[in-house]
Amino acid sequence: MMKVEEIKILDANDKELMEISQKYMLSLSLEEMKAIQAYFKKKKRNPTDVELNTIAQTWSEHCFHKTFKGIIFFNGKVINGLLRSYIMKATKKLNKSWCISVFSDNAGIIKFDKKYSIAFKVETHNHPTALDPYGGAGTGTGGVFRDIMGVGAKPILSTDVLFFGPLDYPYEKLPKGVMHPKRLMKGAVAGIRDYGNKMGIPTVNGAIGFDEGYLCNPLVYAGSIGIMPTKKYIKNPKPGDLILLVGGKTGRDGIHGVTFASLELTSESEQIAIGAVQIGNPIVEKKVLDALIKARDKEKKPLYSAVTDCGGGGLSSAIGEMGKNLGAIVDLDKVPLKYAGLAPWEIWISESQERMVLAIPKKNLKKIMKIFNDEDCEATVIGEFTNNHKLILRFNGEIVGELDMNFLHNGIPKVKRIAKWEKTVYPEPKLEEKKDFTDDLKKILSDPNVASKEWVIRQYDHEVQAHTIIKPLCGIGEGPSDACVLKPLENSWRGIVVSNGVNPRYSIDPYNMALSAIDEAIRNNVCCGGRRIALLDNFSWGNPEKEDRLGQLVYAVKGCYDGALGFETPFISGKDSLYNEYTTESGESFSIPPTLLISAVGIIPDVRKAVSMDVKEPGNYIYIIGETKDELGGSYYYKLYGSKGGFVPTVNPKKARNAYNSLIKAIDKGLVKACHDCSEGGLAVAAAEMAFAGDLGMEIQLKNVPVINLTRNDKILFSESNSRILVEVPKSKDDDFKKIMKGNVYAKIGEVTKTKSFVIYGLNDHPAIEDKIDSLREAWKKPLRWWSI
Amino acid sequence: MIWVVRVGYKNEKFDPLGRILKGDILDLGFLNLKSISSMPTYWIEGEISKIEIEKICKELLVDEIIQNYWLNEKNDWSLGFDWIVEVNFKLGVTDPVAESVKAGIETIGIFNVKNVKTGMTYLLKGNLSKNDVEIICKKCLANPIIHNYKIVKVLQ
Repeated sequence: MMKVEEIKILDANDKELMEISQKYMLSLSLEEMKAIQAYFKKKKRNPTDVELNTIAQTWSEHCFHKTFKGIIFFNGKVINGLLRSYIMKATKKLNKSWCISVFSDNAGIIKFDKKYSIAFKVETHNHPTALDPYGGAGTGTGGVFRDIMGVGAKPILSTDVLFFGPLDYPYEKLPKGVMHPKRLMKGAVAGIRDYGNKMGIPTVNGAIGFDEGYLCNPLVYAGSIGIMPTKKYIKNPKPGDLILLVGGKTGRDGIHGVTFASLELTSESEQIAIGAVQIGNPIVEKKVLDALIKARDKEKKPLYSAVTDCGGGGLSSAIGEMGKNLGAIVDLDKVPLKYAGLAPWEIWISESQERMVLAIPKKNLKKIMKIFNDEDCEATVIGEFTNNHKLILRFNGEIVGELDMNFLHNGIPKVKRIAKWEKTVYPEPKLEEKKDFTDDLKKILSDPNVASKEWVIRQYDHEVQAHTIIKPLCGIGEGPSDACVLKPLENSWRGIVVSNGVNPRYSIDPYNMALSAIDEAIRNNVCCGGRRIALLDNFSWGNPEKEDRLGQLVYAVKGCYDGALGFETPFISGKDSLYNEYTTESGESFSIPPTLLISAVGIIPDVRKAVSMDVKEPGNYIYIIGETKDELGGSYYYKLYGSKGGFVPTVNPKKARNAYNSLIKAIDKGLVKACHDCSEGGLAVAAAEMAFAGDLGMEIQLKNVPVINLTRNDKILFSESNSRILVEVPKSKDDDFKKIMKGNVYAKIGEVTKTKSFVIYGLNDHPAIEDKIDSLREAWKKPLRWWSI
Repeated sequence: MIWVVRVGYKNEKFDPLGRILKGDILDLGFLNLKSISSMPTYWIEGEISKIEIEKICKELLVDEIIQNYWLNEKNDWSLGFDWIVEVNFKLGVTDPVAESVKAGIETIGIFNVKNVKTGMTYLLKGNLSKNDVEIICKKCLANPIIHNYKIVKVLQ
């Protein structure tokens, strides 16, 4: 019989309470420990280790999102919950009828068509990846698939956005205990590849960025979309329903992973964190998926009354959350184990992968057990939901923990934090006006952030399930796609468009960074023909207990609010990963660049109308939509000259929305042959990518580009102003296109040629850039070729 | 008993992992490395006869067109190399490949396998010190958080 330890907290003073929090790796603050002490004083007994761990898991930053739900003092104002006051508020205000479940379940759910819905979720798995990139990134992917399965949907695609330190970082300068970015990238990509490919889910969209700020804290955002019949969505566990644990066995994997995610990494993390590492087993998860879909579809109504993923916080979070308004009794000795020797608290909070929890009405148990047996997938009844609002945990019949659900879920004292941040205005660089910018263009194309990610994309299967319409690489020249388009149903042309926006380089101005990310995600989506767009937010930030980090976060959240309302695109789900900091041996602490990933999902009524980014035919016109402004702060052009600049691109959502709506009309009428958004590297990079992707030449006149206060070639070429899209229009459709675009800022700036030369004429009509497209493509493809990594 | 199965490639060009690792090790600054080969390695425990283990190898673990395999008693696989590094999972770390191998062995009709472990054997050639190999292990071949590793000098 495993021992259950009683932890003496009743008479502990403040110092002792904190010692207990540290000793048992609870990551609880003094205030929280005091709330627990008060609760058990009322109960007139000490807590067991099981109880204390349950509370610590439920109250962790990772599960409860203390910072986003807490009270923040900011510029003399009090914000009562960032999530409720901004992000969820925008969604509420927009009140879209096609939103089915937002911010409440494992994933955000929106309508796809009359019968079907889609679920979208993006997760972060940063800390585990820093320790073991293969296992960490793989289980991140596996975890997000389970989030989708946890609402009863079938995953149909996977997205991955990764950030690492520079690949050429000198080995001898690496801080102790930190893996080289190359090793992290190879491991993470392999982990994602092996999980997605083996489960038969296409990885179709993503991004990879490099910056010294991510050296010690790599970022992994794993996302997934699933589809399901709307009426099969059910989350209604009832008292008397059995708790069924399905899938993998339970081991010590990821013990304290959640509380670990709420801590900063230090050079000692390598030694202490052994338990937090997890290795995935996609084959087991595939069995769970197949059985689950059968259980959902075998009869008119699903055989389960609720299903959820067993992710961060393990059984403790899954059952605690599902039985929140009921009560539950669980026999921990019934949980199938990988090996003997686990203490009851370890079983309860273990984060072993590939496990899910179902609530089963007793009358359906036989049927459901048969389904899981047929799929060769383990399924065990471990308890029952009750109606006494208590969580009772037993081991071999003995009660080892008893907590009131109300205290567990509502007893946490709200954290109070102070946010304070002031913008540092970096000086605008003084750059000489050159005549020729061909070299600058090539250097930007060769920046690892801009360069082709073919090496990664080719490892991911983006075709499996056979419904990928627009793929990550477009045209015979294999240019970078703006978004991916999927046709999920056999008997319908309706499609899903998925894109993302992320630009940590703009973090010098977090408010505009958020707006830019939203605009980028939406315009990428629009480029392929997506509309009726919903957004997801994923914040990876530094330690929110530090005022400046939190101040930046508040500005970014405000940007999200204004962006969502301005574009009329509701947020449907999100996740935050805070504490992405690294403390060196000398005690200095470094935060990652604040990184906000916006993921967008849109609908296209007919995938046959979807547009890719490669130019199609010589003689077609090239149009630009949107204005080019003097806002090169954080741009790749300034980076080339070692400068940040003061002003990052801004967004006018209303103007942009009108232009996007017009463009969508033009796409629907078939007037558009290719579309590409101007982002990293601006107009010059976008035009070059379109040309070499289509393996055709292009001529562009800068004097025709609509600008505001710009008289320099370099700035027009490389400004990263938002809301700009390049469009290829056939001559024969020119008049129709103009008619539709009327009222928006747009201009004809060039033409597709068959010469295979890429020429941009400057304001004085002399070529400012001139090169063969092959040479530009080579500059873009070379840096991340597999043999150069 | 425990059978140790080492699977090697008949030709260097079939060993992409080895090639990638070679690049990584040269990047680390160990320019003396001449070559590195990777050998998927399986530890299979149970009452299994020689005939049975050969069947397991031929039908399950080895692609005989591009691969050879060696069982415990033979050790000529390390001929011509300077260092052997053996890497496998620490106790308690999930080993999904091992689970698949065990299930696979049962599908070919052999039922007395008690336990399977998987790992890698690496063969290194070049003028490297034990300390060099130790660093190579930590930075490239094994992740000490989840792996055990063992370094053995090949006696010529």
